[in-house]
Amino acid sequence: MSNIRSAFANGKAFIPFITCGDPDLETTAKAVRAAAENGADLIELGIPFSDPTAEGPVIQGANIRALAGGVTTDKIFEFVKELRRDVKTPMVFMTYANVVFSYDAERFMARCCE
Amino acid sequence: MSDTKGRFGVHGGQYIPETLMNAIIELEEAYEHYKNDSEFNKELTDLLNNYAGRPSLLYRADKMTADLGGAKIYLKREDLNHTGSHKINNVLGQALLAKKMGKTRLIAETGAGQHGVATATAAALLGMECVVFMGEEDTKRQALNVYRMRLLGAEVIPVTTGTATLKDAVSEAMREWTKRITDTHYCLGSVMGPHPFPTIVRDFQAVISRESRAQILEAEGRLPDAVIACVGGGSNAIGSFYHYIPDEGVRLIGCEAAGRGIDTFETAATVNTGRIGIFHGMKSYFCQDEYGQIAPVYSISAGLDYPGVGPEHAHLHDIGRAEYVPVTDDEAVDAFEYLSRTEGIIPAIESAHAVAYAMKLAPTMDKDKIIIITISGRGDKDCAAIARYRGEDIHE
Repeated sequence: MSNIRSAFANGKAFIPFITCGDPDLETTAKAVRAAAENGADLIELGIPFSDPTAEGPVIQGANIRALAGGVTTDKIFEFVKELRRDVKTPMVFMTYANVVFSYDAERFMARCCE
Repeated sequence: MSDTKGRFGVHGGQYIPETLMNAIIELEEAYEHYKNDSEFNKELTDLLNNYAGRPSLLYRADKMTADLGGAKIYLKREDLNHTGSHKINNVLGQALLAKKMGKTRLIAETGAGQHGVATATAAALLGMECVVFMGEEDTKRQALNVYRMRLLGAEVIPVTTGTATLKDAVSEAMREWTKRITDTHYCLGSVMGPHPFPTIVRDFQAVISRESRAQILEAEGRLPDAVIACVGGGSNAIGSFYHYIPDEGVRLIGCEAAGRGIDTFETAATVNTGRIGIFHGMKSYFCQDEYGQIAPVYSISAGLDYPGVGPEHAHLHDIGRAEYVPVTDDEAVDAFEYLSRTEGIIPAIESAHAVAYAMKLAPTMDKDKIIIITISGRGDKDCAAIARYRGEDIHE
């Protein structure tokens, strides 16, 4: 929690949002590193969902492209673990209830802690 | 808010973004107030009886009964309602409620177009603006209903996202409601979505079983042995079941659209092939993959082509009070043709799923048993599509 709180130390924070796997995880990795190098305080990573009811057309498109590219919740956890070796910027997930519920909320949180 | 509010066992609830919460609370408060308001109920009953043509007939299907050689079959004729389906029952209730709440605009999702047509009709009658979201795929399958809605003064917006069917229309209607809640009521067409919708829609559809119960007691002096209805989201089914739920001796059977079969991916049989999840504001059963991605379901029937089922049905399944059986496209099309030829009644392809299961069940029952099948809508809208299914190239 403290990492996330410190991201808001200046009152305002620069928080880019990136949908994981749009169109593939290599591209996401480049985007995350570019954001980190260019002063992002916090990076919001989207785990795509088939029916993103709360999104406008741009993020809807990103979700659909990511799933078409074959990304899954497990692949995203592995991907973030790998990124964490060199990216120190705090990261948070944004996703839909069914993605977490289906994965099992406790198992999901345990993977987040890893 | 208490934990039990809007719950049916573990199902139901309110899984919605903050942006919708105020609208949902406003709706819930208004419904709690008006549902027992005598003036409101008087106006609604007047609309149902003098505009929609209720009560609907409970018709004794003698030819079908003789032909199948088993249980005596009755048809609850929701197809005879104004606009041609059970959808008008709920729509008149919600439109009247919205009007009392000071709303001037109705939005709705539609699959086969029956709910869209009903909403457009109520909007025309009550002098409200109307916008209907319909999957682009469905606008092609049900072109005639698109024209009917426009004729009634509604705007029809084809939805191109996802599978461009009913679930995408629901998503788009929810997005639109989030954007504009002050003057707009989302007239949801089935017993699904966040609380209070599953309860509101059920209460307005319960008129079906309230009538059929009295009608069968009048005709036969006893309750039926089975009540059969098709289930997509499940509004005509819950309406058909509701007043029989306490009567343990009455089997309640919901017929799901199995599409090309429950062992294929081209199915919409949610209870038979889905598992528990959270989507469209509710916890219930959904067709989904191992990561919770909602499956692109399929059925010949645009009205049953939905990957979820209403939470009260999920609960009735869990406690074993109702049974949910799969019926394939082929079986439904056979039943569509069978009822047309046998009784001179062309059912909606949705309702034909219920007829199809009754055709299997009735011959296994004794002649002193009674089945009520709800004919949720009329089949005029489906004629061109069924002709194409049979290889005839006709156009509307």
